[in-house]
Amino acid sequence: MFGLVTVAAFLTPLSFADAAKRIPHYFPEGLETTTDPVGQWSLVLETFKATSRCQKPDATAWPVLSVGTIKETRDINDKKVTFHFDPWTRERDGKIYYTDFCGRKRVTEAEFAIARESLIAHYVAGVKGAYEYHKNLESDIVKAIAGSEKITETNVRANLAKFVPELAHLSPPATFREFLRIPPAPFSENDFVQKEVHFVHALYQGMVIIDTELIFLTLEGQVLDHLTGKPSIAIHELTHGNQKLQSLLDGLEHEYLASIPMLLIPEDQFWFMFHPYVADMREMAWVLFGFDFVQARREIFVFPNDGLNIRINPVKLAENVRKLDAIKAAFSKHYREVALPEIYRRRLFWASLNNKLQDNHGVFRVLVMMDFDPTILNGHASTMEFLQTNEALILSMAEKAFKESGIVGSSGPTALRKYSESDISTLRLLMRVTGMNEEALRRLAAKYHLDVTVLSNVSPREAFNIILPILRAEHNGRLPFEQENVK
Amino acid sequence: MKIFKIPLWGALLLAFVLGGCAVPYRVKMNEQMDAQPWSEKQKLAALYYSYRLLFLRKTEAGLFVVVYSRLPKEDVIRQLEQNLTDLEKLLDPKNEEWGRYVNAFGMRPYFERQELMLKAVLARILVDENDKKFKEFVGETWSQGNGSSGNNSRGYDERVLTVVNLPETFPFKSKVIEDARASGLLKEIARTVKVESQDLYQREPDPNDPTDSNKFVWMAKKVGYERVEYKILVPNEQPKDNKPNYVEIWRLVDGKRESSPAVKAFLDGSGFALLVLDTDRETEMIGFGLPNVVQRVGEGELEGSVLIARIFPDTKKDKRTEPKVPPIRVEIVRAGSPVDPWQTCAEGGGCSTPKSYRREPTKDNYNVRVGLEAGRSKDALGRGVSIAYVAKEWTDGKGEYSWSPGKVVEYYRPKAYCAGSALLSANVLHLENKKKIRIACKDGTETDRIVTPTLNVVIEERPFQIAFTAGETRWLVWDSDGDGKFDKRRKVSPTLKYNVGFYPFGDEPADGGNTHIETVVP
Repeated sequence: MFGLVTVAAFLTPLSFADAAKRIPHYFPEGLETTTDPVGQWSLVLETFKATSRCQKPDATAWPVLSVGTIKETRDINDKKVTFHFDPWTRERDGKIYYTDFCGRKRVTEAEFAIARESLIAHYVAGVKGAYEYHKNLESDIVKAIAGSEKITETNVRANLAKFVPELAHLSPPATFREFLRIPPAPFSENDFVQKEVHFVHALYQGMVIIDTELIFLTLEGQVLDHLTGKPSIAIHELTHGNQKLQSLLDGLEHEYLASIPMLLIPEDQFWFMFHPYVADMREMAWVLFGFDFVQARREIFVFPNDGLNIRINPVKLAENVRKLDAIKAAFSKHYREVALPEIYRRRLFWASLNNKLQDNHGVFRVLVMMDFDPTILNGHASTMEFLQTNEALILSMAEKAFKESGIVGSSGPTALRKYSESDISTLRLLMRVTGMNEEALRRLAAKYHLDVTVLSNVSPREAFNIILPILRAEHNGRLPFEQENVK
Repeated sequence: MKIFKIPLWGALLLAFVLGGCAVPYRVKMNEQMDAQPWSEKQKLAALYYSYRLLFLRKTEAGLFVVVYSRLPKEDVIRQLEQNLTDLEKLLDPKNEEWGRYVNAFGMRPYFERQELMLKAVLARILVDENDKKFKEFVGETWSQGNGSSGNNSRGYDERVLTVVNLPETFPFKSKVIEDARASGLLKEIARTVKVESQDLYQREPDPNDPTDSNKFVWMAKKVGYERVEYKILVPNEQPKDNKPNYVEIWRLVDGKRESSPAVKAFLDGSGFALLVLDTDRETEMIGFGLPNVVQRVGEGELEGSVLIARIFPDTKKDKRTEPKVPPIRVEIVRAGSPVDPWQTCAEGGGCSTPKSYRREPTKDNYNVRVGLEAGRSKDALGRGVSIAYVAKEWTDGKGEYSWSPGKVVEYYRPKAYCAGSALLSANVLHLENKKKIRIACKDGTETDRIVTPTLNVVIEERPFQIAFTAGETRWLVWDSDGDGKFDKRRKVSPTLKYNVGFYPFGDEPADGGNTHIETVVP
């Protein structure tokens, strides 16, 4: 009962903000929530500068054991959750110690209590945020089915609740809803609550062992969320953690899907401009809405000053970030009302199409064309004139490309065998560092007659040695790490 | 940049498009667009527009909707097969990397359920596809091919996933046969019932030690089926031949038919048959009753073992036995401590021994061999060394140099020799008679004896040990208490020192006083 009361005090974003105001001891000092673009950009970099050494492991860093750290089990809604405070231990002297990559120090009971409540509050706010974004998903799907099959929503739900004859012997029997992988009706906040939550130091801001209800949230992630005042990193991870939304066997791109509720929030002034998970969303924004991120960055970044500090144009920064507001709102509405209901209604179809296109984001490119016309060629009218003039030619090329795509070994029954951890990390690292998406890398590879699998099969260092001269040649000797659009 | 990471496993499953030989749609588009005098922006606009042209259709209301049939069904099937292959790997107890994930989080029941779901989805999509094929073959529909209009008869159609009564929707019935049946013209003309069993069907890795390729278990296989042939017979007319028009093959489970046939074959007299095959068994539920093969085959293919093997494919689940991992143990033993290698055989009948290696009724198909005390050199002769045994090594009865089945060797205790004196030598006079031994004593006496099949003065009546080979193992069984029952056994090396009938030159003890045939001295 005590747990319920305690947690209830942190269930609202307001109370999350209240808890966050009691700044935990591991927060860099002087960080404030702000939606001012210049202020937020500045504080993000200040945060990374402050946390990069002590809160991020390097190659020599050691992990902690899952026993020995402080744990606490609480009722979140009506689900028992065990929170693991991995950087903190209570030793035999009865005192609490906090360890990061810079050392170990004693913290008081009061300091730990603030840290504990603040982290749990951040998590609970994340649960609420993830739920809020997805709460209508099931009803939107049912509405769509009812519309297309011309039956009532009640009948749709009744049909989905029927047992699949050949799976009726399972315990429990499988319903058509489970069979078709349509999310259960309706979502509850508990769907986003995991049984085991670890607060950790890590190279990344969060991690989920998918399908397992085991989630890792970093202290640094909480600090970054504090800057926007929204638990967006927690929302991202908790979206991964909802097995009804994401599972190992989906064949869908989880990172992109989990980035939708996280990166399209109006409070964020920074990540939509840079985060690699939404590189393709930025490409879509360019094609459809005309916003050229490369140009925007050039306008904002005046001179790098050799990396000591970055000279920026605050007026251009504010101007361009404000232009993104409308784009983010349009995308957010599109994903919430059109794309997500469609994807989660027909996961098998869209995963298969992605595979056929050999494009993890193919589904998003197709669906975005339901809602928006391209405007990239100096406006809507001129773009559509070009496209409609060449429509027959484009269709003919498309049919040929579609027929030939994804054929040779594309089905990937060997996908698991093909890749090792180093393969994935090399390509991902390249994408992350260059800011280029996989298609851009592919195109570049094709232009220089480089088999992209070579990049997958060498170490990151070797991959850089291969790709860097190409990047330099492409950009007159300047490394375009801030560029990603296909130019 | 910050990274939001899901585990490697997820990345593996999702990252299939990051490399490999398959060509992405976008690359194929770019190749073609590069031939056009278009700017990069124009190419990008055209690329995105191509998604609309390919996969979307504008409704009368001006909204765009997805044309699902654009995606060939084969690509959905491929996706499902890929997922099932991934699951196969995930659920394989021998796969240590994935096994840790599955076991650490208790995921096996979840993934097994997912596997059944995917199999059921795949079975439905295949049966839909096969139904279309079947109808084309029997002339009820015709192929429309892959048109550019989007009305692709082989395109993805999700409606099959929501069908409630599958057998009714996909009956796989021919109008000709059904009409004949309805009018009473379809007559049974032949029926065959067969049960085949094979105890040593297939070697499988030992589930308790699956990584050791030299450890294995034998899997048995038993199949039973009933084949029924039907012919359309017109009353008062003699059929021109006895070839059937329709054949059904039913799997038998405990002598009873499954509820629908595994094979339906439709023959039209052209020498070919339309084969409708369901490889899924009723016990597996998933896919049973939904044929997963429809193909035109030669009539001859309806006979023979190949078709039967297709009806009874090996099931994968048999291989999912969790290896038994023994607990970690600690055992510290002082060097040279004695070890008893003998196992005690179960109470009752004792250890099994080979049968039928003696030629009846003479029982004389053996050579003899003399073994001295183990570990004693020939220098000890005359100073107390004794005969440990006289062995009968049994031949196949056709010659002295070919082994009996199981390479049986009986070991007998000798009766008294060299009374009051010491043994000087004991040799088989094999050049003269491979049953004859000469015993020389220190007092100068020398006795030649033939070891006869019946009671004799050289050896005791019953052997105290018998060695034989069973399969790839050589056993040595022992009547340890002399009661006539072999109560103990141990494994010995299957490699023998001498072949049957061959002796060391001059029968000189060549190995330190011993001519023992086994590596372990009885």
